[in-house]
Amino acid sequence: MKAILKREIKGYFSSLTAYIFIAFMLVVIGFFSTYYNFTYGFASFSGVLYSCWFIFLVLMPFLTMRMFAMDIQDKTINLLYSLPCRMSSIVISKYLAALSVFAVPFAVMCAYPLILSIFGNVNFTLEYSCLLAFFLLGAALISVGMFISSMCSAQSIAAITGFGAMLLIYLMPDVAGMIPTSAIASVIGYSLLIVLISLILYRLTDNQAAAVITAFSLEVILWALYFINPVIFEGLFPMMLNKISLFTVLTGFLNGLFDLSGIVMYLSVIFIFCFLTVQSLEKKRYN
Amino acid sequence: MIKVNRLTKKYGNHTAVNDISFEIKKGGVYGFLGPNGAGKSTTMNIITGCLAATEGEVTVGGFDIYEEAIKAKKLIGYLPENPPLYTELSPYEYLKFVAEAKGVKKADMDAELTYVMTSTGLVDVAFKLISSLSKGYKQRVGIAQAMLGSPEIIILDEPTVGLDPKQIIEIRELIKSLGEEHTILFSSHILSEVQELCENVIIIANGKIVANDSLENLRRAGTQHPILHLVAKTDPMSAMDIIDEFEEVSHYAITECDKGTDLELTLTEPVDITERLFFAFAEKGIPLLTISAKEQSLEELYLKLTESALMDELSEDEEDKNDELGEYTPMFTEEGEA
Repeated sequence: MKAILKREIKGYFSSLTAYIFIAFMLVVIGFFSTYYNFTYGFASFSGVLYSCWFIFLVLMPFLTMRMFAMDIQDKTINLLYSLPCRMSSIVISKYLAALSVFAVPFAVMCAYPLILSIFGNVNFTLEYSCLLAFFLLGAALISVGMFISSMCSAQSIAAITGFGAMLLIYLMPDVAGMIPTSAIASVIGYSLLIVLISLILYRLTDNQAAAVITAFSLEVILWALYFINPVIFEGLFPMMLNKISLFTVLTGFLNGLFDLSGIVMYLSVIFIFCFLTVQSLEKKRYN
Repeated sequence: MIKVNRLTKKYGNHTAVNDISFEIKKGGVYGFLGPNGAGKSTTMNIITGCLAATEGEVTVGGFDIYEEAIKAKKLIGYLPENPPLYTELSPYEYLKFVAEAKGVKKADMDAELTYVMTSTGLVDVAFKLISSLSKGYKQRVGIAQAMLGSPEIIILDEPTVGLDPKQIIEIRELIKSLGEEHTILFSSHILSEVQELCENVIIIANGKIVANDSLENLRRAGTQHPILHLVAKTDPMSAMDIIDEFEEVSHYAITECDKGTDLELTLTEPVDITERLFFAFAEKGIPLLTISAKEQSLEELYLKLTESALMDELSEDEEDKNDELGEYTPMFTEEGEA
């Protein structure tokens, strides 16, 4: 595990990936900080975080595209498969390596509140809780990107798909706002979600019967619940989209709310996508 | 050392490996021979845990490759068809990474790296980038990584493909020397290569094992169906009439030549019928100009085995088609009668 972690970190730094990632993030953060903190004189770094979280849309797919897609593309995945270690160890090692690269600009960002405190009063609790949430958001998005990379056989495809997924997560609150609050709209939304989950299940297992049975069972339960008590579905789907939007959780922190459930959600997303990555790679053995 | 039991691998409707079983004992060099697309790489990928089987089981040193994967994989060094190299690293950095990943102890690291790099002749290029190395050297790096961790068995998938003749000779020499300390299973579609390096050979064709024996026994098997070469001073029809009387002849080839008729007879079993042949032709007043035994070469045997596997598959397909047609025939007849 340590060997793979070391190699991966070395891989990021021997190519331009880590340097471009770190430089781009620090330049954008620096630009917004100059504008917000030093031009307008606000002694709050959380405002900068609020303004520049869009950089994740571009930077996270860029960082994660190579994680497994490059191994699949270059056939070095066979080396990983033949090593005497668990697939989960390989996935965790690669995940921690990408997280380490993200930790470099984050460490620099952690110095901003201290610098700002020279010029004014800084609420350190708020600032650092926001930074923690920002880091966990990045960590969760890395796990999503890693899962996408494990499903793709080329880095470019992983990057484009990753960007699409990040954009969807970013726009989720807006999408939620566009969905009517009627019960039938929510049921249709859940119905489509069930189809999506079944498709992912099918892609991961290649088991058509399992995917169809899952989809059918869930659809039956969903529609039965709707016919028994349609009121419970009113506004439920848009509310769920708002709740699971990773970016919305960060907004809560920026507004001064230390949302423990948000942190649990970020950690759950990390765990789920690491697990899905292991499953995706195990499934590749069957292809 | 390796036990493969009723292994099947299907890709959708295509069966790449079809119910194969074989065993590899400790020591020696085993050749895994077969034409392109026969199922060699698929089998090797399954043995090394890179691919999952549809059915069947593989044990390495008594450990199931899926149930006790870590223990089984510790016994194997594997060079896939495309060497899995991180080309941005130097051979030294790459091999150090693989050694660490395979759990080589820090105290043994330098000695192990020196040993594999010396054995594979990589010392001179140890600190050059892998991307700048020739294909032969890249292959050596691939073999070196398979040697790391002192595995008992080294599996090499077509290690000489794409190399120039000099590199091929070098890699063959390397495999020979590795065979002195490890059990080697290497695949190839070149018979001469297998003949040069192996004591034992497993021949696979169309996903089925068609032979699994020592080279010596296979050569001997070639003489189980002896071939006789005759030249008779007569026309082909008269010669055929005489040959048809011999039950020992399974099939024959007849060509007209300057001296009369040239015959090549394949016998069902190793029996001596030369004397009876001589008198049979003499009785009809036909001079027999030549009569000699022709030994079946290993090349011929290999071609025969691989081609017969292909023919079997084609005939199975044909039977399937006939079965389908058979369902239509009565209906057609009934309609015709009506």
